[in-house]
Amino acid sequence: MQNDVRTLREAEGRSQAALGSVLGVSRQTINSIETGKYDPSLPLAIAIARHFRTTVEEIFHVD
Amino acid sequence: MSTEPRTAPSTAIWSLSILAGAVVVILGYLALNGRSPGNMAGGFLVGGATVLAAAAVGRWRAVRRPSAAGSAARWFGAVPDERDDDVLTRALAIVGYVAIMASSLSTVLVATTSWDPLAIAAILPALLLGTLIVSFAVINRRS
Repeated sequence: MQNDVRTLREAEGRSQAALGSVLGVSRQTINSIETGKYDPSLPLAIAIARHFRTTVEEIFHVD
Repeated sequence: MSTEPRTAPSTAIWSLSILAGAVVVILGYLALNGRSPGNMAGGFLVGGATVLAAAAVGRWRAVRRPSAAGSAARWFGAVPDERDDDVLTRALAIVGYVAIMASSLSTVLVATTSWDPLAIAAILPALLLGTLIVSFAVINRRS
């Protein structure tokens, strides 16, 4: 799936490691999500959406 | 709903696990020493010590320098996240496929050839461990 995590993270001025720390996952996981190589679990996707104060559908898009 | 931040198991629990692992390695060495062919006992000791050392290094990297730790280090340090779980699950699935095929092939070889059954049995763990390492590395790289 494509997503806007990188765009939202950079707009916030956070590093991948910092975002991973907030969400309870590794920097590697954040990088894999941003590059589309890994689709997050439902709880993590919801946590990402809540962090950026938006919805899952706004962030993640089916290819 | 939120993700639970992964926290490292307490140092005491982790240390006890390592100690239990060390006891298993020593007992295995004592059980094999003098009863197994070649240097199997020594190999078991070295292999077990290597795994314990890797766990200690992984723990240190995952807890002290989490931004620099990779998936394998986080697993050894008992602090994997969901992606690490996914990578290991997929790697173990491949190991399962290989195990079924390898054990079937080894049974046929023992039944139809004069190859040493012990040698064939000793190859199986090494084959499966090698499969796990390679598949873990490839899947981790690609996901």
